[in-house]
Amino acid sequence: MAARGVLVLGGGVAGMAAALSLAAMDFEVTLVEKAAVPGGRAVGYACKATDRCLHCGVCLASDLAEELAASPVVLRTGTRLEGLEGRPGDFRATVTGAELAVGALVVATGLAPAPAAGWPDLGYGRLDAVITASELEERCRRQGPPAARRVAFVQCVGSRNPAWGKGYCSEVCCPYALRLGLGLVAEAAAEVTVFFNDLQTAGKSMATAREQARKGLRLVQGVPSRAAGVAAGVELQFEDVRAGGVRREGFDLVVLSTGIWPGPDTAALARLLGINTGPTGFFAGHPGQSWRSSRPGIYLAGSCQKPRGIADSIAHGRAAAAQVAADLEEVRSA
Amino acid sequence: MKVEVAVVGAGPSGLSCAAALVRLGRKVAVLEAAEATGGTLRAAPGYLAPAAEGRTRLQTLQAAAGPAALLTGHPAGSLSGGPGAFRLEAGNRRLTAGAVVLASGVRRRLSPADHGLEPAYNLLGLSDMARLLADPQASLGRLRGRRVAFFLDVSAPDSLRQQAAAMHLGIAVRRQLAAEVLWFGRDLKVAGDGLEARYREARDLGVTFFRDAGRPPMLTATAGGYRVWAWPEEGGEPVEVAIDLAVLDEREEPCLPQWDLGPRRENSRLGHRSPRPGIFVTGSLRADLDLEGCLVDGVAAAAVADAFLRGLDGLVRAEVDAPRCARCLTCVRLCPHRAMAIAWYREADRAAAKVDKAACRGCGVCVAACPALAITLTTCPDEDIYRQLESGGRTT
Repeated sequence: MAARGVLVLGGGVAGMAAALSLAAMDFEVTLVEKAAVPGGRAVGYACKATDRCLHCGVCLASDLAEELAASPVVLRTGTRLEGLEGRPGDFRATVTGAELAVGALVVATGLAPAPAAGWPDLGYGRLDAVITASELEERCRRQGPPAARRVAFVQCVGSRNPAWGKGYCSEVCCPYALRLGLGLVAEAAAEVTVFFNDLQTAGKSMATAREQARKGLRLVQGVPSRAAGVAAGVELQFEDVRAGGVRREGFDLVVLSTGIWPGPDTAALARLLGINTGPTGFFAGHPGQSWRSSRPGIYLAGSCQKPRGIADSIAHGRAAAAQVAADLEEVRSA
Repeated sequence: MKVEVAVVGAGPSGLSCAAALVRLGRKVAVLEAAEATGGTLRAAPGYLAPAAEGRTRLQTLQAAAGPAALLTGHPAGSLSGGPGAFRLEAGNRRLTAGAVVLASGVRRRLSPADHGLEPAYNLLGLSDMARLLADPQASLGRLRGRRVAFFLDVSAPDSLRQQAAAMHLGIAVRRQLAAEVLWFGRDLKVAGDGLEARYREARDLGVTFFRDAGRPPMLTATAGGYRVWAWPEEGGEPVEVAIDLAVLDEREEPCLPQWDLGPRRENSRLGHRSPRPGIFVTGSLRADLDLEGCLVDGVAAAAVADAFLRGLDGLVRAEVDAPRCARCLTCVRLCPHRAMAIAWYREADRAAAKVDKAACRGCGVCVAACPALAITLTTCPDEDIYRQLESGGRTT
């Protein structure tokens, strides 16, 4: 019954949403996750509610993980795809220690955060008080907000620069930085400055956070070019575009808002699966149907195709599932 | 007409949803108030994407949604009934649908007063500009070499879709009319599909961007144009320019039918389900989405609605053990949602009570009343209910 089986690669929000959606459409789904537990990056993030919900969507990840545990989806953790043969409706996929007969594959292998060490001028790895946003998320989730009074967020680290081959906006960093910043203000009484190029605060889900951020955070247009260690923390040098002039200012904690880069295995996986990647290194989606890859029978979900937030990744996972279901019904009736 | 899903609205998300449902083998009707399908893609080509790309997308969507019953000129009227059997009036047609997907989008309205201006001939909304650029009859020729300015973040602050529209239209104006293009707004939005590349293209074409530093630009009408003062630097001197045509952002109001969708929830979670069972929401109604976002969202809503119709979405529903059923009709009479009927079970080779998965709300009335103990609730077995009762109603 190959045509009833679907293999989902990656147990992040997009993969879980796709798997659950397919199970709800009566398919036999196997979810392969290289880590020991499903959930992906989002389950490691912190809920960003202040006195009210800021719609960050992090709780959706644990909801999906719970739903997954109660679903008929077969979960194989600590497992990777090793080979693929066959054609749409009749694939034979080799995963660690097993061979599966499936009708289709959903690739939901996610992203890699931009490597903060790639910007030595910003001090990551050199100065202890310079951390990445993922590290701040982890810390907030495990121990609560750090005790730092003057906190700076530096946006667009690894985004919006064609010179690095990353001439796109990562879309998620402004929303997460503003929400994290508001959390630090609310819970640790920090004074938060966000250094940005252009603030990406569009969308209904940002309504509450946007309003609060304009009141509670200091928003400065102009991204720092240099970080220096000083006795009282880190000194950032930046050009304030709106007020004019180059300035220096000290902070106790500097958070680098690293952008979304293609996952580390993207190129190798593309070769293994025989699918294309696009100019920015993500898997290439079909024009107008971004959930379809360049090869029939293989589908894409979430941030492995382009930068996506949690809610968008879930929607994309569901869209991939709908396409898989439709195409497999066709294969069966043909 | 009886269908499994009625989709309200034939814009990009509605068509994308209908096409996906058709691919899933569902019987679908699409209700559209306008005389043709396409929504913004048809009424304002060049608004959601560059005009040529928008046309291609629309053709693909129309072809894919073709097998659905497309009822154009049929605005959605009153709704009665419930999941499994919604009764929907649309113009002179009456429909019965198992589920309903709302994809009716937003209505855009130019509001010059927001910008401190009076309506005038040289004042356009973004969607008017898109319509005129696509209309070969429109005499835009006199704008050749003149100055056209776009004003964002006033009537609809922080709208990704309108910022994307201004980007597509600014490039089109620059290319088609060789006009000088200026952009005024609070924050430049590039967090959309391919938008960063469009922004760079605009900049390379010589479009000038003015981001205001906390104070929106001021416009006054002059003979044949406008004078604009903008403050790109905090507390700095204003920049003063004369322009010939002002293109303004527009107010957006959700285009909702007069239905009771149930109480609005603070955190609507995954978002494709409305508070009312069997009614789903997608597209611009749900979020501020660009074209790619609308296409994805329509298909995603189709997946959710399909799972609902199969009764496999994880919600609690009743289930009948056919061989045990006494066919006493107790459940058929008592079900408050009319989800019970006697039907033939092929595998059991007998008639028994059967649950309409779309109509059932899992209330358990039938479970409690069945004298033959033939009905249970899915995903909520009796042991779980007892355990919850013993723990004082707390779920774990």
